[in-house]
Amino acid sequence: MPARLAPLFLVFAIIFAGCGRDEVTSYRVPKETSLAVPGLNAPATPEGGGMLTWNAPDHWNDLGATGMRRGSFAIEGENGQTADLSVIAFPGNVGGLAANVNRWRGQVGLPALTSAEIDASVEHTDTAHFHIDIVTMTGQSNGEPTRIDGAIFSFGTESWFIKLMGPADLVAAENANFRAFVASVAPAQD
Amino acid sequence: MNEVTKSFVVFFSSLKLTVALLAFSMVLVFVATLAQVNLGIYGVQEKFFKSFFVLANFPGTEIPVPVMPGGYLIGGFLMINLLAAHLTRFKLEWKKAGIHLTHFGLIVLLVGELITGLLQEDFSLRLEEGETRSYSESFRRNEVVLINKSDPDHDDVVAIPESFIADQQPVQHGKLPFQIIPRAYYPNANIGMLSSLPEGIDQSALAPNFSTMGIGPRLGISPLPLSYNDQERNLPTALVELVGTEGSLGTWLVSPMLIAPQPFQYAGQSWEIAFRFEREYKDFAVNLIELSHDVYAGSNIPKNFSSLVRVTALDGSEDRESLIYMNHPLRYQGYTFYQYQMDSANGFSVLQVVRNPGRALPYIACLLMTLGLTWQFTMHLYKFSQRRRAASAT
Repeated sequence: MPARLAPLFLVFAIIFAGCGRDEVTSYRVPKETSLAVPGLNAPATPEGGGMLTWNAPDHWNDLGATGMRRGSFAIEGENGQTADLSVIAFPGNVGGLAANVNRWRGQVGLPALTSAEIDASVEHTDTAHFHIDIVTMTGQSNGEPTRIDGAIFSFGTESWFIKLMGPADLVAAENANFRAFVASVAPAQD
Repeated sequence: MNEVTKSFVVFFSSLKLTVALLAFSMVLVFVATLAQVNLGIYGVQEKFFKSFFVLANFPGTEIPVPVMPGGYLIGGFLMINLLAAHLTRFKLEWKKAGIHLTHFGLIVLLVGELITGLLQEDFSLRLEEGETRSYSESFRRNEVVLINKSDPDHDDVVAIPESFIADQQPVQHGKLPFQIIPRAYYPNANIGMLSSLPEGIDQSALAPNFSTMGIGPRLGISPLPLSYNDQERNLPTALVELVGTEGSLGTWLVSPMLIAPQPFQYAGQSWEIAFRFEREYKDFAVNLIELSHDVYAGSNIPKNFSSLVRVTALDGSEDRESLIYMNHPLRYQGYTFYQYQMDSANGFSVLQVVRNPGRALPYIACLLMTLGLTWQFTMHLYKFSQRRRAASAT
């Protein structure tokens, strides 16, 4: 390259290195309804915590309590597919239903929903012992269709999370077993 | 032609430049492929290919300096090089028409890629059954918005791109009676109610939260490493102070994880502040009438996902229904709506909204190059057969 062209290239480099800056914008839109801030009015939970029992189908491989998990199962499907069921409990409401559902949604690459959208999508079920919120979501994980069937409920001062996650078709096929498992959850008898 | 012009022409039409640019592009592809481990596909496209220069921080500083030419520069120079070579060296004659047409196709391809890179927009539109929206949301970008809610019919929105917050750059805007000063920024973080943190969690591991307003003081911030997985989204958290003429209004903690905007009052007006997925408002609205998720009989294997939508132009010029399903997107006002995700159990559908003004150019380029190469090879074959005929006649 001729030496006399060098300064021109330098100017070009400096100009374009600074290109593509974002800008603050302002606009007017038709009025939108505001939503309630999640977690502001979290319900009080009763005193005391405890352990739960459950009945799992025979083909679920019971891995027992490990680490943070109060219960853990591996479920094998066809073609070597495996789904994972975890039972976890945390003190308090752990950010509320919306934050936890959105955390799960993030795990399968789905965008977060508003609390109103989540409230509308949750299936509320009363079992013999608990009021349980059930959610189902299908997205992708590592490029594979992945589904989460989840159940959230309070017991004592803790929030309990039962999550079945795995290949979408396997989790869908196990949905009835998952619901039976959730329905079987009961306080442990001393 | 004076000396400088001549040196320009010689430089830009030289074959050496072609070789150098092709070598640079090979290096660029190689380095970008390695960088994909850390940056992911999107990050690599932005840094290496959709840029004029690949920038890196000067050692020990935050000052970005160009370290190698980016995709736009190499592609742009290749195009200039090709054009200059045609103008100066190639002669316009019928027997070279194939070469000209092929090269012209190549130019159309390069221009098409530039147009796509600069102008393509890619958003998501999430709709529940029965819901209507006139905006779509970015897959990756976020914005801090200040919304003046005082007007009974309209909201006045000032949107500040995440880059301003990341650079902690104060923002003063004509439509805002206060200044926005970003005080802290975490590109990916979890937030949770302090009262509900799991027992045994080390509170000193949380990031400092000096927010004073809204829900912020009741939240803990747990910074996370940036995710470069293309299936995951980073959710940033920021602490933003608003300063009016008479001093600070307070500091808010904002994050897309906080689903609802936080309200406040200033100078007798109602405002809201939020950090949300970047929105693009359109001059039409889309209503999801019905979604359907069909499976093959007796199985859970998906057969078809479809969304029946109604598109209404805000000025009343258009009102029609359209069924969107696999390989049958809706095209409207330059936008293409593809069926992207669906959760029929929860009654919502996600459409991918793409606007690409250059989408036809790769097809035109391929057609031109096919015609060019066919012409070129046919001419060669014709000449070859003529020579063989002449040889056999002698």
